[in-house]
Amino acid sequence: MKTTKPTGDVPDVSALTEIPANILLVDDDPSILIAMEALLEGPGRTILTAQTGQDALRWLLRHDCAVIILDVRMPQMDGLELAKLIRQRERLRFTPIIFLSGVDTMDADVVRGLSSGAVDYLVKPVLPDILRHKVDAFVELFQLREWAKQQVERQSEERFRVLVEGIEDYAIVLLDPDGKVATWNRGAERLTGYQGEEILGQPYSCFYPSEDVVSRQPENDLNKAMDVVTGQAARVDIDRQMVKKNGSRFIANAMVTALRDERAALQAYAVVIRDVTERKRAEQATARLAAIVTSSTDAILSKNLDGTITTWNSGAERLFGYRSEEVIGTSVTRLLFPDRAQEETQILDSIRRGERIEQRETVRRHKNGYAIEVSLSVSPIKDASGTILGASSIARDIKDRKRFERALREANKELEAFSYSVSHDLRAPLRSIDGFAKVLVEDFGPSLPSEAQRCLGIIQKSAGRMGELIDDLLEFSRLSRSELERHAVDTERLIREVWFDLRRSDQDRTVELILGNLPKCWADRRLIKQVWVNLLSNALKYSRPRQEPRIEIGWQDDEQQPDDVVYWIRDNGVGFDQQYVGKLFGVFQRLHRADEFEGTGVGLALVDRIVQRHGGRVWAEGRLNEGATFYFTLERVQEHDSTGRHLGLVGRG
Amino acid sequence: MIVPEDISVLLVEDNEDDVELTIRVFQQYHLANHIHVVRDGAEALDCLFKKGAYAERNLCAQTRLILLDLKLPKVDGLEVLRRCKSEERTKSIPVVVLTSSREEQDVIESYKLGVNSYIVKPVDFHQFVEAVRQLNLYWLVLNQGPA
Repeated sequence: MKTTKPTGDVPDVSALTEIPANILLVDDDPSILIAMEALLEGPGRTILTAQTGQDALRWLLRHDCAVIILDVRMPQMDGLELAKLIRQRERLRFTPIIFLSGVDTMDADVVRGLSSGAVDYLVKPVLPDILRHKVDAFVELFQLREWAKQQVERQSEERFRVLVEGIEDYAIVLLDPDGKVATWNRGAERLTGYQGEEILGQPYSCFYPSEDVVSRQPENDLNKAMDVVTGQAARVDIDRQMVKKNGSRFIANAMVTALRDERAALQAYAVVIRDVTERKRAEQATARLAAIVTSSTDAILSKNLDGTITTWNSGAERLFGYRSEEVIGTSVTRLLFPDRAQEETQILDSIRRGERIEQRETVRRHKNGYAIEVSLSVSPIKDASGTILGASSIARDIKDRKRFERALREANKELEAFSYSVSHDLRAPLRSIDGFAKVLVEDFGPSLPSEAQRCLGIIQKSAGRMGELIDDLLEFSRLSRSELERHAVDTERLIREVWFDLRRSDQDRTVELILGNLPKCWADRRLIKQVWVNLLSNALKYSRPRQEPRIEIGWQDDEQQPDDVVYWIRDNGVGFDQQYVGKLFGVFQRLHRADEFEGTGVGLALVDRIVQRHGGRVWAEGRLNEGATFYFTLERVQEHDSTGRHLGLVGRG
Repeated sequence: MIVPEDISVLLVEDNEDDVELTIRVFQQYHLANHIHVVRDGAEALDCLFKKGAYAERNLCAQTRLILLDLKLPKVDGLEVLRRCKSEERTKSIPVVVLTSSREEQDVIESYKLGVNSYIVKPVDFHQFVEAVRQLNLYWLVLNQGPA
């Protein structure tokens, strides 16, 4: 068949004559058959000949004919009878039949012949020109009809092809009966990465992972399509992992249809493939979420906007005591004590406004009537367009936490009572020791032997030291317990304040302070001042042996907590051995003997405690005789730049 | 040295040693004769309100200053303070609280009840002078400097 497209509705003559046309000649006289065959031959024509009616019918079973020429008089089955049989077949009803009969034929025969379906009637001997013209006319008519039919078919085929090729979201592939790729569309290209020319002729199995090819999965899938009701459009729908050209895998939904001809012979497989990876993932995620909700020990329930419970997990069954079938469809108010009914109205109002309720501590009612302390979080449930449909509610049993909190409050109260008692009772005997030692010195000093005076001196000194320890311990306990009042603290100003206070009582030497431009922090000013007092006095104390004591204060970003700032203070003092760094921040822990450097060992413990209470971290670096650096973090107040500058605040000496 | 007869300090203190040491300080400045010592809160109240053993005495009228320890047997210092400040007759008497430490809660609580000043024990004379100066009772001390 020529593939050139017709330019319009009028068929090209050369194209027409190429359309094959069969002409069936039926006559019991072989010489007539030969003569006619010679007469009617032409390009594109096939002459079929039959000497009996049976032979003629056999031809007609398998071949369409442009025209049938029948001899009326034949032994066994005559032409009229044969014509009747031909007309009974649906496919042959409109095939033109020309009768041939002898001169002796009666007019009655002509009438019978025409009524039995003939379109023309010629009397032998037939004039060859007349027969050929008649046959030519019928052949042309047939060819024209065939041409028209092909046009229609081709157009619909073309439209279908364009449609299929253009589909991008689906791979639509035809496989030949051997399972090799026969057609390829843009969707297939997009989905698998193969171009049409490289994949045509390749087996269907090339889309399967090697392990599935080994287990003959591709063949099995195609056979499944074959198994479904033979002879009809049979389709199987399967989810498979498939492989792209680049080796990556995706989850495919493949619909395979076995296409058959009228005689049920397999012609092709039509395979439509979709990438359902996302959908599968979403399904898995949903399944996982559902599993989490189901297995959660928290009570998770959902309700619509009028407070009707719509879902209820096993955690809710445990916490509230109701089984899901008891509560779904009923009002959530049954979980509230009557005096809290208003609370649910407020919650639903917030939900309608699209607001969430986060960890509200409240009380709910168990099925048995007792109160449950819960922490409640409620969020609106929205549909795709953002309309609020209801709320999901998570209730956590906080009975244990509440108990711990109460225990902690008790413990704190006891601790306070203890400190109070320490501050009053422990001090009284100390005052007596110190006071009466003083009395001894004042009243009898001059008359006492020098050894007695020395001993009295030791007693007084020890009493004084014990007083300091008690003071520091109390201070430590008090600062650890006091409420935090956070404000933006101007660290730089605070440090200068502390510095001048400290230097006032230590004016007989020069100490250089290098103070960077420091960011502000969110902190309790009083407590953070204590931190700087302790760190600066430490730096001053331990740099005392240096000829040119130098203290440097700066800051850096906190890599662990972007919202925090790391402050550091470095001195060139005696430092410490890094292996004892763990002892540095313990209460009453000291790395130096009291006769080297004074102190109770509370200062750094206090720094640690205060910074920790602010949510920060403290650490230190040091080397023996090479100074120490202390770092701590606090929440930064976001502003200004990072240029350090030398303030040269030099103490007077 | 001239000491007005009606000047009197009421020391409310249960610790013998503290009493002795405090009196010693006053002695050094020749003020010991004007101190009356009571050993618990109940006795302090009796003294101020002429009750019990003090029914026949009129010490209250002579009391110009109360030195009050907070931790006392029977009735504690804060209760004494509260009663003292709620009675018309006694509320104008300045009260100086004696504390063992600077534990805030004591101080804040006592200021709430109208305490006038406080001294951290052991009482030393300079502290005492300072407290008294704040109370505009400067003359009480200044006029009686050490001989």
